[in-house]
Amino acid sequence: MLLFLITTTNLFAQTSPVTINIPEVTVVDIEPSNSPISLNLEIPSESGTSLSNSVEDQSKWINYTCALSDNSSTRNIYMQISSGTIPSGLSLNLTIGSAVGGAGNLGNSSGTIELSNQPKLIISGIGRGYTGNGAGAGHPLTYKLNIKDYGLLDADQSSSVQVMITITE
Amino acid sequence: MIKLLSLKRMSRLLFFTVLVLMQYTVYSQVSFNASGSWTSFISSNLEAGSNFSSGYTSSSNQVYISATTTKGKGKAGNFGWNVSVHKEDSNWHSSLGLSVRRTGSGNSTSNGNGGGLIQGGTAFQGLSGTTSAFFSGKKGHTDIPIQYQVTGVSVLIPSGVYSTTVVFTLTDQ
Repeated sequence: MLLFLITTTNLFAQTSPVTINIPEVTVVDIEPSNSPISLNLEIPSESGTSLSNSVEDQSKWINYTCALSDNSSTRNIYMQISSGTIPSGLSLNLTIGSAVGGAGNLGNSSGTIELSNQPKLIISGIGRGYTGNGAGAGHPLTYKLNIKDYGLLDADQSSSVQVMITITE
Repeated sequence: MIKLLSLKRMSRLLFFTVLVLMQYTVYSQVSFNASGSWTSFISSNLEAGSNFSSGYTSSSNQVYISATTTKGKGKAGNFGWNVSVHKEDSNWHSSLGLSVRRTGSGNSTSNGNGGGLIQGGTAFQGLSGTTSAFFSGKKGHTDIPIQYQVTGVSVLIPSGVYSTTVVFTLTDQ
């Protein structure tokens, strides 16, 4: 009995709770910056030939991050012209490429759309994920000015438009 | 007659047992306490396209542990003790890692009586549901500072609240 008491050990336990709160986050931006781009119709080199569509601009990328709970629905990104008017006879088209880099459930591109003052779905079904940050990450954007109606073109017409992107449920 | 003798012997045995138990109780006084918890709110201030930072660290004294094992007056020397640690998950994600380390020695309570040793546990060690050795000491130490670190935080983990309980266990030697 004595031997047992000498060799026995006592256990004393204390507890400390640890809690980690991971928030829901949904953010989107344009990279490398929000600086304006310029699109000009190409002047024909031969008299009698038509103006051709503008050279494409491929300098912009969409980056986004979505941290969602299990109960959250996927997110969608829309784009619309928020100010200014497209010159008559022209359309401003946008092609959204597939995501490059990043991780998680990135969204699906809508392909090519014509921008207007109504929101157009450009990327859908975004789950938990992130595209990576900066130009070269996320979805590449290609802007192109197209001639819709030659008869409505005005040679002196120039216009600035502003586009807005929105990410929603 | 035989029965009477047996009863006598049993009484003696019981008497000595109680005596030993009393001695053990007097000479082995153990106190152990851990105070503090940690709640970490991951910042939602995030650059588009980026992931959360993977690791977050609590303050260096997020939890204080006090441990003392002493013998009674007039007895030389003090018992040593070991602290082990594990976690018990209530709602924890398998991608999250939790580590713990000791960032100091606290205050010795031996009052110039040679000072108690305390060693181990100064590097972050990952926690699981299985108990592992954390640090050990002798005599008394109060306010031993403890720090936590969580790793594996990502937007790929469902947003929400994840909780676990860290269990510190003292074993006297």
